[in-house]
Amino acid sequence: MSLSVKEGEVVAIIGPSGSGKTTLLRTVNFLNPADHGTVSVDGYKVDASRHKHREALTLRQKTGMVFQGYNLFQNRTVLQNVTEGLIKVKKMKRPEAEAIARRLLKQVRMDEKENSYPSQLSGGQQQRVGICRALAASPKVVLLDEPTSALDPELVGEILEIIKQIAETGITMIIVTHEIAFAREIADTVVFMKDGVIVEQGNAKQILESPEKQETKNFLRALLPERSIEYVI
Amino acid sequence: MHLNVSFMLEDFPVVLKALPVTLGLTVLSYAGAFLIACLFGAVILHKTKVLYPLILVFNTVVKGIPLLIQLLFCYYGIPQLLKLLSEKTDLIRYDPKHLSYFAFAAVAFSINYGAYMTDVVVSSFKAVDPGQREAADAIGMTKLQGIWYITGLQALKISIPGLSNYFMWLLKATSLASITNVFELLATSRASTADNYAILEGYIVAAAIYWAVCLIAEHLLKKLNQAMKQEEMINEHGRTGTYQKEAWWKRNPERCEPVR
Repeated sequence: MSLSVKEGEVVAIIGPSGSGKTTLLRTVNFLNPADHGTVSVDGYKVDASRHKHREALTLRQKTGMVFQGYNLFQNRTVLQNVTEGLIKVKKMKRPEAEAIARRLLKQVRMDEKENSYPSQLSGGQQQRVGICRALAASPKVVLLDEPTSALDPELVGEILEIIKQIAETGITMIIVTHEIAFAREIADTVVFMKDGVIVEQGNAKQILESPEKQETKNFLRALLPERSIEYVI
Repeated sequence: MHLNVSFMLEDFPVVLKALPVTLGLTVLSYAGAFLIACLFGAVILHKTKVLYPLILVFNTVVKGIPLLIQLLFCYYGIPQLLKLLSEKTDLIRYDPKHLSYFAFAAVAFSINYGAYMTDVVVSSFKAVDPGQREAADAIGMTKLQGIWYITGLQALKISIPGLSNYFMWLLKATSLASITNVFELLATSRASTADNYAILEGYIVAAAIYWAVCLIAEHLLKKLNQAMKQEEMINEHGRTGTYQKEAWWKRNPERCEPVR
């Protein structure tokens, strides 16, 4: 399969469970290296079948990742979670890194919690910090792996709002999501996957409102009743 | 039965002088064992070629032989090895009159306890949430950085109760070194009774000192465990702010105590 993402583009990957959405996302930063093929980010090309670990590390520095389960470093405070990559990987000076981290944390309204540990925070708060951590190293592309799936329903909104704000700054994003309404709102391109292959990809509005392939239609129809609830009073 | 109490009181400071030897042997052996456990654990977790099966076999051998026999192996074997080395190379000079039986015993304890503590190190690393390593990978950390800054520290925290149990066991196991010419607590107490044959009294004195030292060591380790638990409790319940810190181990004291 082939997927190319332009700079500043927001791509949403949708599809039923087990269709390989997350795996596709993780081949980009080599958390799950692909067996064959190439991954190219910002002109840096890596051949997956014979890549060196060092190449994967370089690629990872060009990407940021937001996990479904937040995966914040449990032994680090909120501030340290965000500065860790800047100080240890980018070898930035601490005050400089902290300034960047504080600016990001302020954007997501987590600046008052900078000295808390992840386990002291709610899921929504943790995910906000996770987003800051992914953005800290100013990556070329941010990979979001079902960023709201592990959250309580009432917290989903705030995270989606933050992701929307970030998307508006023009950063390139690939989002794996089950929130179809959200995908329609922020994505430029939607990719529909099933059984490990891309069934259909193209303009978000076109894919979500008038899909061509039968699989896409079936998948979206299954989600339709949920959508109509909006209009029930 | 008649106990010579005045001798026991007299004997007490004499035996107590050997306490630094026991403590030194314990701490040195423990440090060696921890080092071995970390090295072996790294090989097992990494599944290094060739070394991995060798270490698995070595560990089963060490665990399958009584500690006392291993001590005797080191007692008789290491001098032979040193002799051979001094004959073949110029690295060391073999001096049969000045052999460090203390060091030989420390080697035996380190290897034996290292083999057991390897399991603690391995299981602690496996208990760390894999997402932590993934997150470290995702921000571009090398494998070593990920272990050093993130997963290693978390594994260490998980391993502390298990490792402190081994410390308590080792502290008492060092008495076996009295067989191999190390004048630690037990050997000293036996030697001190050579004049008047108050052998039982001598052992009672040694037992009392061991007990006191173990109580202190246990108390300190319990404090350490509690400090870790407390941090965890605050972390888990700080969100609601209604949790009483001490309640958990007041309700479950047996879970905070190192097993003897």
